[in-house]
Amino acid sequence: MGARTGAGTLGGAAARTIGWARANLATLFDNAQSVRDYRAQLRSSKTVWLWTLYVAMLIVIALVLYSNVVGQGVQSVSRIQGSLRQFYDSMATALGWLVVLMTPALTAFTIVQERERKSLDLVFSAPVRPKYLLVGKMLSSFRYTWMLLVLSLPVTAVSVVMGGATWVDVIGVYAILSGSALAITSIGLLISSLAGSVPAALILTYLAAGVYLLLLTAIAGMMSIPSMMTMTGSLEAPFLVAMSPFGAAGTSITQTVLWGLEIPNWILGFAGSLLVAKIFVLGAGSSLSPYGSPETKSLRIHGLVYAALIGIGVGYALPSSSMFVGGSATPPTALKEMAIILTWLLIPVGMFVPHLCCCSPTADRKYRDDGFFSLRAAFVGSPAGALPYLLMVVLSYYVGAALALGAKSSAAGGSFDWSIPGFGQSLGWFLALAFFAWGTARMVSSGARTLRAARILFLAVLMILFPIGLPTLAILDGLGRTSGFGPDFLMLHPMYPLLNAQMYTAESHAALMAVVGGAFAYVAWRRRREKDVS
Amino acid sequence: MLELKGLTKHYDGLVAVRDLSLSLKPGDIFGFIGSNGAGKTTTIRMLATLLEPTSGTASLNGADIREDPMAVRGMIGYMPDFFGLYDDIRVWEYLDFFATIYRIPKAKRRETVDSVLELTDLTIKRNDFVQSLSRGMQQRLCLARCLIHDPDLLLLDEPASGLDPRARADLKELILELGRMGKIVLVSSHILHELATFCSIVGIIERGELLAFGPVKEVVAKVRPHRVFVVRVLEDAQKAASDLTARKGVLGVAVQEDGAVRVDFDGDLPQQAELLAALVQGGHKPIDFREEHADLEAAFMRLTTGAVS
Repeated sequence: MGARTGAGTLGGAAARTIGWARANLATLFDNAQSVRDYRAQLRSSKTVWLWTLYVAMLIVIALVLYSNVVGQGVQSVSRIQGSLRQFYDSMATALGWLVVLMTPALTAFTIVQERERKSLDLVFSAPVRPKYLLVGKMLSSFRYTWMLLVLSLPVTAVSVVMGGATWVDVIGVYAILSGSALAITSIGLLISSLAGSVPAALILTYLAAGVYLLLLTAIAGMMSIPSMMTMTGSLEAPFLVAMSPFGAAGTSITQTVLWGLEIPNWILGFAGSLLVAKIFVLGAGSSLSPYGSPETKSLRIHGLVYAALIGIGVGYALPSSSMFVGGSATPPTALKEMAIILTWLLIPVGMFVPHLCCCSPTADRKYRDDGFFSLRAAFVGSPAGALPYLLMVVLSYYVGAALALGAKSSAAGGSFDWSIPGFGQSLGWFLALAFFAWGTARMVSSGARTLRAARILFLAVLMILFPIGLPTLAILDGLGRTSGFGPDFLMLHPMYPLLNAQMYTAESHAALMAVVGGAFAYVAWRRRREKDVS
Repeated sequence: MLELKGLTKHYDGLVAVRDLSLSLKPGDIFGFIGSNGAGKTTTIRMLATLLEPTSGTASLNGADIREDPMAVRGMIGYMPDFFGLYDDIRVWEYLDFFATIYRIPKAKRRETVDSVLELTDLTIKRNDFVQSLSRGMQQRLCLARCLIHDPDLLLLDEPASGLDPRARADLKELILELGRMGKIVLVSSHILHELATFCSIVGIIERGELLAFGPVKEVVAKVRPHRVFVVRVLEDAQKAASDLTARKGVLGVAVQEDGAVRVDFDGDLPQQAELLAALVQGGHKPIDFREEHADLEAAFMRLTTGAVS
C-alpha cells in the first residue's frame, strides 16, 4: 500500500514535471503572442526596405570609420593592425548605441498598447499566466533588435577578414550586445506594464534604461578600474563591465578570475544580463497580477535571492585587505566602498519603495490599505508586507556580503568577525533607512487622494532629500569650510555616514531616521484609524 | 452548472455587487438586466476571473473562481462590452491566436477555426483583415473567439449594443443555438424586449443587489400578480366602468385618459367571459376587449428606481 502510494506520488510528480516542461516549451516555442506580432511586424514590404536601408547605412558608417581610422598611404603592419582594431572598436560602439536607442523604442509600447486596445482582458480571460504574454512580447521585441544585430554581422566580419579582431572577439561583442538588449527589453516590458499611456511608457523606458546603464557603469567603475586600462597587462575586470553595451569591444576581452579560473567576462556579463532580464520580467508579471499571485511571490523570493547575490558580489569584490581578517581592522576604507555601492543600489530601491508601500483609498485591489506590518503579507504584495519585505532585502544583502567576506577571510587564513566595527553599524543604518523610506511612503500615501498622487509625492520627497538636498548641503559645507566658519552641514544628511565612511556617526543617523520614520508611520496610522472611524 | 454564492465586490466604501447568489444549469440563457453602473459588468468580470471578489465566490462545474481560476478560464468564453480586437491581422489569424492561447493542438487548430467561422457565418471573411469588417461582423468575430475552445459558459456583456436590427436578429439566433447546444449563456443587455424573447431566465440588478431572478414569466408575474384588461366602448365609458366594478374577479376599474377602461382582474376564464357578456347585456357596444400583457420592461421599471451605486 505504502509502495503504491509512493509510486502514485512519484507518478504525480512526474506528470506535474512533464506538464510544467510542456507549458514552458509552449511559452517559448508555440507562443501565440510572438507569432501574432511576427505576422504583424513582417507582413509589410516596408520591413524589407527598412532593413535594406539599415544595412546600407551601416556600410556607409563603416566606410567613413574605416577611412578615418585606417587612412591612406604606406603603413607598417603593426600600425595597420592597431588601426583595424580601432575600426572594429568604433563599429562595436556604434552597435552599442543602436541597441540603446532602438530597444526601448521597440519595447516600451508593447503592453501599454495592449491595455489601450483593451485586448489584455481577452488574453487574461484565457487560461494563460502573464509570463506567457510577457515572454511572447519579449521574443517579438528582442527578435527585431536581434535581426538588426545579425544584419550588421557582415560589416563587423570585415574586421575578422582584414585583421583587427578574431571570431571569438566578435562572438563576445554580440553576446554582450544581445544580453544588454535583452535586459533593456525587460526594463521596457516592466515600464510598459506599469505605464498609463504609450508616450509615458516610451519616455520612462528611455529614462530607466539610462539609469540602468549609468548604475552599471558607475558600480563597475567603482568596484575597480579594469587592469588593462592601468596598462598592467592584466585583463581582469568586474564582469559588470560586460553587461553594458558601451565599449563592448574592449570589455569582451576582459575576464574574471574565480577560484583560479579565468572566465571571459562576456559569458558572465551575458549571464548577468539574463538575470537582470528575469527579475524585470517577473516584476512585469507581478504588476499584471493580483495580490498573492504566484508571479508576485516569485518576484519577492527572487528579490531576496538577488539581494543576497549582490551582497556576495560586493563582498567578493571588496579589496582583500586585512580588515576582516584576524581582528586587525581598518573598517572605514572597505566599508566606504561597500557603502558607496549601497548608495547606488538605493536609487532603484528608492524608486520601487512607493510601489511596495503606497496604498490609496481610491485604488482597487492592488494597493488597498491592509494594515501596517504583516510577515505573512511580505510575499503577497500588499502594503502590509512592505516593511517586513524591505527589511528582509537589506538583511539578505548583508548576509550575502558577510558570507563572501567570510569566505575570503578563510581563504586568507583568517576568520570573519561578525561584530567587526562598522559592519553592524552600516547594517543598522541601512535597516533604519529602509524604515524611514517606508514610514515616509506610508505617510504621503495616507494623505494623498490617489495612488498616483502618493507616488509622485513620495518621489518628490526623495528628490528633495537626495539629488537636491545632498548637493545643497555639500555646497553649504564647502562655503563654510572656505570661510572657516559654519557647522558641518553635510552631517545633517542621512547619507553622511556612507559618504564619508564615518561609521561612528551611523548610530546617531540611524536613530534619527528611525525616529522620523516612526513618527511618519504614526501619523499614517492615526489617519488610517480616523478614516476607519468615520 | 454555474453557482454564485454571496458574490460581493467593494470598491473602497462603494458596494458594486452585494451578496449575489444564483444558480444556472446547462442550456440556460440568462438575461442580466440593470441600469448602467448597476453591477452587471463587475459581476461578469468577477466570473471571468478578471476581478477578485471581496467576499463570496462562484463556481463553474465545481471549479471555484478564487481557488482555481485557470480551470474556470478554460471553461468560459468572455465577450466584453468592447471589441479589443487586433486589427492588423486577418480573421483566421485572430482566431488562430486564441486557439493557440487556449492550447488547442496545432493539428486541430485549422479545423477548429473553420468550424467557428462557419457557426458565426464568417467563412467568407476568413482572409480579410479584422479592421475591414463591419461592426456586426466584428461582433460575430468576438463571439467566434469566445467559442474557439468550446466553453461551457458564455459571458456576453452588452453583445447587441451598436448593432443594426438585422445583426441583432442574427445574434439572437446564434445565442438561441448556443443554448440548444447546452451552453450556459449569460447576456447583459439594455434591450429588454429582445431579451424577453430568447432568455429562459432573467435577473434584475440594481445597486449591486439582485432584485428579481427567475423565468421571464415568473419575474413579470411577481411584479403584477393579476391580469389587466383594456376595454373600449362606443359611448359612455364611465357607465361601463361602474357596471364592471361589481363583477366577480374584478379588483379595480379605472377610466384612462384616452377613454379606455382598465380592468384589474384576478378571476378565471368563465369569469372573464362573463365580463364581456355583462358589457353587452348592459347595452354597451364594446369595440375592443383585450388583455394587456405585462412585459419585462414594465417589470424592470417597476422594480428599479434608476439609482446607481
